[in-house]
Parts: sequence; structure tokens; C-alpha cells
Amino acid sequence: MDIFTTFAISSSALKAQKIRLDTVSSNLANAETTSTPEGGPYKKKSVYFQSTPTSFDKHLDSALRGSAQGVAVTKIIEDPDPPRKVYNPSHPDAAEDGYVDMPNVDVLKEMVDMMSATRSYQANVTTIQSAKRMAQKALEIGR
Amino acid sequence: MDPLTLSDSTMALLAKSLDLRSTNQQVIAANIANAETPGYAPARFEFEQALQEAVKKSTIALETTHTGHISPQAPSVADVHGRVIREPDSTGIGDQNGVSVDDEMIALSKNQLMYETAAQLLKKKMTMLKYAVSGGQ
Amino acid sequence: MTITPLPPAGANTALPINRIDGEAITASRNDFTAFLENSIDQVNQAMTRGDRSIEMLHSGQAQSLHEVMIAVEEADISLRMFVQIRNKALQAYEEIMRMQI
Repeated sequence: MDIFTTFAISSSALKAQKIRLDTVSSNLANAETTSTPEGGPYKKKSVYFQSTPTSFDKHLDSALRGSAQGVAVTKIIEDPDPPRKVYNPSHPDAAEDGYVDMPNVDVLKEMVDMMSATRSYQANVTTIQSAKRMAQKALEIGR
Repeated sequence: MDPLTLSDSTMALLAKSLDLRSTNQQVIAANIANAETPGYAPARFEFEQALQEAVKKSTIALETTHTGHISPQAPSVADVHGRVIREPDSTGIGDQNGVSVDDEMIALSKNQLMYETAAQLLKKKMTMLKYAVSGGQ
Repeated sequence: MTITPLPPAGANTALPINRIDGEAITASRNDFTAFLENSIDQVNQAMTRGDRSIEMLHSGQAQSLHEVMIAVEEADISLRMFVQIRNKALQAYEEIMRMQI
């Protein structure tokens, strides 16, 4: 049913934004991490959104197929930017020249990303609420 | 048809739908209540598929033209009970709690909406019956 | 004096009525029966459509909520309309039966 298509699309977006928030929190938590299991400093992670046209095709009319799409995080990519170099010879991970490779995480950018994820989440919640209101208005036809 | 049995198959379907959806409401409420319980596997109340099949079968009934014919035992709408299945957490992150509050809220909205719709339609059908029975008075 | 016999009851021999413009109306009394039968059929169809859309909604086949509500509402309105037509027809019949001849 059309209302449940809206629910499915918005719900996929809610999940995607939550994963985005997860990566932001991971980036912020590891903003100063110099050592990782893979070696080297922590690398900033970001999400890769991809629209998912097929998952709710069964709910859609053929004309709507392809135009109403959900979203999914298909992969998490690592930022290829080089690490920040900070002079701190006493640090255990310091190189011979006294510089430490710090993560390429920009805290300011992460905060902006976090706000953006929150706003997107709110927008999708509003979409769901609006779809629900519309359905309730449709119910009022019979009242 | 028994002359006093005024409710038709549609009303039976609506009544069953209300029944199943109130059970579904309890299952979703249990999931939300256990959103923070470590290791909790959320439950899903599955009945929509069974209800769909019962509706489809009741509309395609086979005709028996001979006393020796056996009418196929179509599962009637009243026989749909639904079943609860568990979906354990598959991510392996955190406390093994598989509840997604977003999903539960969406399921709650959907359930509430369908319940309201069924109640509304049942009321409408009954109003129509009453109107016809009273002869428009 | 000759008495013209009344046509036998039930025979489809409506007396020609002259309209104001002089044109004769040869309306058959079957028209009303046909109209009633037709309305019953239409009301029944509307109600079946409503029931069908309810079943479609609850069996998950793609349908929007408003379409279902409108179909059911149409069935309701046509039922009310028909019951009122029936009441009016009965009223008219009773009034004719009470007429002093």
C-alpha cells in the first residue's frame, strides 16, 4: 500500500542516517587514536549511500518503479587524506624525527556531519508522521 | 444462510484482522520494552501471509456438483492464528540486542493504522446493516 | 348505452396520455420495475466493490487507503439512496391505496 511504501523508504533512510551517526561517533571517539590493529593512526571513516530501487518494488505501481527509492549504506570508505603530523617526541608512536602520525579526523567537520545526520533523521521522521496523518485523513472519509 | 446471521465474510475478515492486530500490538510492545535488554531477540508476529492466503482461497471456492465430491478444506479466515518468530541479532556488535527502535516504531504505526482502518470499516459495515434493517428510519 | 370494459389487470395497455404539447406518451409501466431492478443491481455492485476493496486492503494487494474508503462510502450512499427510493415508492403506493374511488 502506498502509505507503507513511504514507511519503507523513510525507514531505510532512518537506518542509513543512524549508520552515518555511528561513523561520526567512531571518528570523534578515535580523533586522537594513533595505533590501530591494522597499524598506523586511525583513518576517518565515511559512509557511502546508495539508492535501493528494488527492495519495495512489490509495493509499487509499475509507473512508480525507479522513481521512489530507498537508501542504504552499501560500504564504509576510509578517507585517503594523509595523517596529520604533530611534533611530540615523547609519544610512544613518535617517529625518529619526533613527529607523530595523528588521525586525519577534523573534529569541526565531524560536528557538522553529525548535525547534518540529525537533521536528515528528523526530516525522515517528519515524512513518516506526515504519511501517517495523510492515512488518518483518508480514514476520515468514512467518518 | 441462517436468516439471523447477518455478518458476511468481509465482516469476519475485519473482525479477525482486529484480533490479530491487537496481538501484534502486544508483540511490538514487548520488543520496545526490551529495547535495552542484553541478548534479547525481537519477536515478529507473522499472520499477514496466512490471512492473505485465507482470503484468496475463500474467494476461489470449488463447486461440488455430486454428493461424492469432497469440497477442498480451504483454511477459513477464522482459522488464521499467526505465529511468533524470533529474529536474533546478527550484527554481533554490542550486547546482542537485536531490537531496532526505528523498525518497531514503524511497525507500531503500521499496525495502529491498519487496526484503525479495520475498526472504521467494520463500524461502517455495521451502520449499513443497521440502516437496511431499520428500513431507513 | 354501451359500457367499455376495463382492460384486464396486468395487461400492458397503458392508456395514451397527452402531454401539454399534444404528443402522446406511451410509457410502459414496466419502466419503473426496470428502474428498481437496475438500482438494486447497482447498489449490490457498489457494495460488492466495497467488500472487494476491503478484502484487497487486508490481503496486502497494492491499494491506497483512500480508494478503499471511497468505495465503501459510495456503497453506503447508494444503499441510503436506494432505501429512500423504496420508502418513497411505498409511501406513494399506500397513498394511492387510501384514495377514495
